[in-house]
Amino acid sequence: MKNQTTGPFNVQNLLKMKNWLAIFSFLLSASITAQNVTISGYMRDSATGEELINVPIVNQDRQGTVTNVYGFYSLTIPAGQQTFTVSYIGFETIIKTINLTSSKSFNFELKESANQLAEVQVNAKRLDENLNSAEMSTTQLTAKQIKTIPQFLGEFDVIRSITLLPGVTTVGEGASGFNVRGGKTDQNLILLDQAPVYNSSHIFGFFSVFNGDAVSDLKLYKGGVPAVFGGRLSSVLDVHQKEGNTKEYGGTIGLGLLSSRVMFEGPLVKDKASFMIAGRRSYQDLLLRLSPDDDINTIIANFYDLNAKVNYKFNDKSRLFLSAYYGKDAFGVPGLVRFNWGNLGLTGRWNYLINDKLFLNVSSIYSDYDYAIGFDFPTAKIDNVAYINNQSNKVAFSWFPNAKHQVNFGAEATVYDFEPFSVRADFIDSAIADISIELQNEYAVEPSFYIEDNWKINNRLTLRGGLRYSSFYNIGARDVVNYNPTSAGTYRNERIIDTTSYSSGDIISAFEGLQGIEPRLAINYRSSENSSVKLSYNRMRQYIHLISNTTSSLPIDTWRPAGRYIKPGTADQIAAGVNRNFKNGEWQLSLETYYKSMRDLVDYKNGAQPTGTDNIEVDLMTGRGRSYGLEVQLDKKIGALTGWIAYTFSRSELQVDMGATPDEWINFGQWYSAAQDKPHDIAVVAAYAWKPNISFSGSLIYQTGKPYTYPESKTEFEGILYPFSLTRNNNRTPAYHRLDLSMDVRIPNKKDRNWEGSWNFGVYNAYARKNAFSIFFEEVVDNNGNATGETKATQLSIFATAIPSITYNLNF
Amino acid sequence: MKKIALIAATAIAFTSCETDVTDRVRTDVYNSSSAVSISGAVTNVDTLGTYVELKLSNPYLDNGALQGIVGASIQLFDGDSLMGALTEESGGRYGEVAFKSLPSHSYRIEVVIPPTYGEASGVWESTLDECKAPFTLVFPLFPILEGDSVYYDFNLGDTVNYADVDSAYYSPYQFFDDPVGKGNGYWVKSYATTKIYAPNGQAGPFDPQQTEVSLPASINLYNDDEYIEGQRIARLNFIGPPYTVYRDTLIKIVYETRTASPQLYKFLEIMSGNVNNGGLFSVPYSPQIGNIRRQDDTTVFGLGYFYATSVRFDSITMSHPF
Repeated sequence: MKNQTTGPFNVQNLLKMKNWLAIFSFLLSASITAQNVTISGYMRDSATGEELINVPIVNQDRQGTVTNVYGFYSLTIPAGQQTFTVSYIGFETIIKTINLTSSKSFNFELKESANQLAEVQVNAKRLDENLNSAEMSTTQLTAKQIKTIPQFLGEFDVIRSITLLPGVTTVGEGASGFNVRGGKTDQNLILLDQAPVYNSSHIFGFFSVFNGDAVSDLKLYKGGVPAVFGGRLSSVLDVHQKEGNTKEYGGTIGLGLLSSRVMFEGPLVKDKASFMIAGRRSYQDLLLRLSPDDDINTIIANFYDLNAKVNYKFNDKSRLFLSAYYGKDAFGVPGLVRFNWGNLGLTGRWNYLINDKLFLNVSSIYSDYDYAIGFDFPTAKIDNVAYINNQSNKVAFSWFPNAKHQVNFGAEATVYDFEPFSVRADFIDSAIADISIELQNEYAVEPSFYIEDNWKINNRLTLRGGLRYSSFYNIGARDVVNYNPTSAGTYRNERIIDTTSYSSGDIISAFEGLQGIEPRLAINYRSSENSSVKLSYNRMRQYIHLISNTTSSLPIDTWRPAGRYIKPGTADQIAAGVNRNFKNGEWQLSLETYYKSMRDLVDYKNGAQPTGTDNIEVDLMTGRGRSYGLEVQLDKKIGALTGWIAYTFSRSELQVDMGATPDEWINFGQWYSAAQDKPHDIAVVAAYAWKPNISFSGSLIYQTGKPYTYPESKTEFEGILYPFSLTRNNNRTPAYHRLDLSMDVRIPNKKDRNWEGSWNFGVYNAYARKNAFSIFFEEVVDNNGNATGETKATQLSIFATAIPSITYNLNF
Repeated sequence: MKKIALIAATAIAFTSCETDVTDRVRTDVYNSSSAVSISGAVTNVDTLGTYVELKLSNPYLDNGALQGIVGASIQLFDGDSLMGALTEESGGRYGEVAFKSLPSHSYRIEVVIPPTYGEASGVWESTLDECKAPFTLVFPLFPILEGDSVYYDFNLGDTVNYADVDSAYYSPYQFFDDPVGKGNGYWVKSYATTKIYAPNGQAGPFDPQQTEVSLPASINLYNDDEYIEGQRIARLNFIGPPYTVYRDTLIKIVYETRTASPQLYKFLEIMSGNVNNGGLFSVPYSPQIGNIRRQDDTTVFGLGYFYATSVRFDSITMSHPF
């Protein structure tokens, strides 16, 4: 029964890669000339010494490039007098003339703009960079920009910030994660300093795991995803932690009603090594202890997280980064249940400048997500544990052959270990045997290669073309059941006929060959001084799935890999857009439309409760998906009043018709709304700098209600009155809308102190909208527990009132 | 679980709330007509045999009684062999005690509903449902003190008592022998508890004082999932509340357990989830498709399920341990 496969590094695959390399080399060599010189170096924040990412640099002939994710740039241009312009949001523009007679290294230090409030801008690196870049469906936010968005309970929340962007939604309060262009929450690749984050939420989605004080910047790719990224179908959220100030010590402290945070940074060796360390802790449980109600005051409910990063510069060519994240949540009712879950991410990176055109980064990454559910009974202690972890090694090159090209290429290999579920019951009474049930671990290897060229064809036309090749191997040791071959695509326990045992390292299932090729393409045409047209296409593959069938996505949902019975998902997305700037970029209009086709998506069978089973496929079905939409965003970038209005029309639908008979299909094989399908989504975000030290911000969102399965009728079976429906997601909850307000007051620094304080006052859900988390139906019973024959519908709202917050922030 | 969810929400924000939206949902959502509902079973019980309930469904938020379908004809088949017709009793109920199930046989029915019922009229049928062999008990049921049980069903605020001078909490247990093969499911359809006053530990016999029958909405299921392979003996408690047994009281409990085919098990499992739905961590409402469909168009489904089952009754009398 074993599959015979050739492994990840077979000759055919290497030959295919070689052909592609040859094509790229030809394209590049055609544009290289002999009298060119190269200027290269880093862009840094003059105050902190931190490298700045995606900073554009152009000369007087509009030849230019942008810094890579390590702040490095390289530009090969004709020798002679060159005037460079470097412009980046929140920093003063640098215009520098250099007489280039030979190749040289030059580092730019950007000074933070004095007029910070006027620089309150979102979503642009430079006022017309949105018109030049081939990137589309992409949003970049710096820490400073995130802090202009209304805070949630005193926290600068990364995830809540991006959900205000077009094409990004959440299922609602109490739900973990976010949805991008109709994708499920597990279709987002979330990276923190390259380490995957498998659960981006604290406290069932109320906070994100990203401490705003520790974040340097983030970039969200909704489409047109660069070839360096892979492994998820819908989006990439690439978050970078601060590197630490290399020049002086500093930090922030935030004291809030429900949580507090601290961040400290500084040089270890001035201009050579620095550190950053940050931590947060919530203390709802401490407040709950004030309650006289014993049901409340004994509840455990808190989270904490730690971020740390150090870097050491060996010389101008070599630099080492070590970063870490560790976070934990705890929730429990003593004597009844306790939940614990958390992420761990460790990243080691080494940058090396091979020459002034070729940049190397080598990374080693470890990521872990685990959860535990425990029950503490007087006579027994029961623990359920599950985890996913991965170890990745990456090598990435950035090659800057000339002013027209920037080529990125590299390889990556990831090894996964999945522990889907284990339970142990320890009985205090020694006469009762302890129980230990452990599902089999699953193991997998995911190798990938990529190459991509950012090609500035001329001053109007920019192209980014890339190719990623990925494969996936589900490997032993593991026992895999075999089903009766007449199962017709669905699997059931009673159809198991025998089991095949695989030894450690044996390949159980392999996904390789042509199906692993993921083309990426993005084209930008600057149609006029103030407008551009963009087009992108990308194919994405996803080899791991989050298995969930609860009203709210839970921390205890389990990740499972593609294997014998679960295929990897594939998505093809095409997007087209128009950007137009008004008033020299003060106003920017973006309009994008997209269509995404997905196959081999996993959805649960009706009524499935997919936990605690080795053969998870018995609870799952595989189907197709499609999502499409139109996104419009109007930004006001500068001035006292800034912000944006975003409208999204989108649909996200699924089709599952894999069963042998229609009752095994979902909705009889017809297309139906996915759980995240919200056709209309409007967000209005505004920040107003009233006085130099006082600013206001607010956000108003409106979303169509989420799909929901309502019972269609009521009937009786063996005396049981029960709700009945034939179709899934046949209706919607009421629309979701919410207003958040925030005011920030900086305390004037009159005594030339080396610290500065500020107060933040906020209100979440300002007009106390009772948004529906769920609607449930129940038979009304009398005092004796007997059914009265009456049925009622009840709406559960998580936040049913306005929630004020007050936070004191101290910067030093 | 719902309670845990609500406490969780409270812990987080103190702000969750529940709102009765019955009228809004009724107004906004429902415009459904009545659908045919066919439910019943072929059993191995001498006094029960085969029975079928024919009804018309109500829109979910309507509170009126379901209307029975009268004047229909129902035939029972063992595989493709006709066993005979059921007799109409009253209020849409049909039955025949002579038609009994046998393990490993599969049964189906054909139902002809007269034209007076509009869209519900015509010929309906159920797909075959297999009668599974019942489990056998290795030992008689025996009680375990609540404190020794892994099964807990108490509510917040309850005090869990162990055996003391006056009372003890008990849960009945079993060692059972599951028939060979996968797909054996069991439904504890009902249980009845009878309290018997036995003063001062006297031996009796005594007359029963009070009998209570479980609510029909309790859907208690278990099956031979991957932890119970074939001819394996497992300790499994009958699902039910722990019982308070006083020094001067005996409690007699009678369980009615029915075997369930994998299809019926799934049908009941979904029903259980739907009946007990609503919480933060709940499985969402799921469509529930039984085995009833039109004979001339098998993509048109009716409500309900017709199943074949082996029924067994097990009992235990529990007394205070001291």
